[in-house]
Amino acid sequence: MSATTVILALVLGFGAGVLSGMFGVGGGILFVPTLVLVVGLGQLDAQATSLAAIIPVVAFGAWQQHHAGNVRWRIGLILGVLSVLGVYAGASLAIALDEDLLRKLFAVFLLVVAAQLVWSTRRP
Amino acid sequence: MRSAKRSLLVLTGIGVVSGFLSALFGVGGGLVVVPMLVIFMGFNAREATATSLAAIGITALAGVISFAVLEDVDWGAAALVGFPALLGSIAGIQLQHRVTSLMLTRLFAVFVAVVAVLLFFE
Repeated sequence: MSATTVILALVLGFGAGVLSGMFGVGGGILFVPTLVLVVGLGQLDAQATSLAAIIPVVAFGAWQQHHAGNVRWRIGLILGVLSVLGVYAGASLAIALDEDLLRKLFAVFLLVVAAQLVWSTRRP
Repeated sequence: MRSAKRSLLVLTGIGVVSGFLSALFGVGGGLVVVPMLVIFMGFNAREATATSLAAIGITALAGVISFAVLEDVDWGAAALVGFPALLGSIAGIQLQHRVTSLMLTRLFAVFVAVVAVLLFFE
């Protein structure tokens, strides 16, 4: 990894955090493109790495929200534990798919996110 | 009792769908969890967002473990984007209270769409 790549990844990581905090979308939708387009990881490695990068961000976010009294822990923990069932299926599928196809599917998923963001701004 | 059973069924559905999407695309899954908690569990937006963070922590951890066992996780790259992102999210939350507007959200949506196109043709 060159110095330029490191600096760019740091800056884009920070930017991804700012945007996720501002717009309430997870960092993942920005981590994955950063890791693919800037750091040069393959799609699958980028996704696995993105999940690792998400952990400190959400852990800190949850801790902050806990102090604000907004977290309903019982539901959150049940939901998290149940999600493991889906995680196994999703990870298996991601690994089984051709990486080029996975990247294109991710791009389509991003477009859905963009559409949902626009949809969320419609208001009287 | 009946409503407790229904809640568990709903939570199972939300959990499985969000976990699946999270691992398939390497994202948190909040996109699914937050609206579903509002629609099906009667949460307000703030509680839904906060609670989704707790759930996503576990989801992402399970995802990382799956991929670490089956594939490669680039820990250096994860730290490289994860820790500045942590600092960025603090700044972002502060900014949210001041400058978030419909216009800005739409601009962000356009940015996400451009990234999607770049990635598609990478």
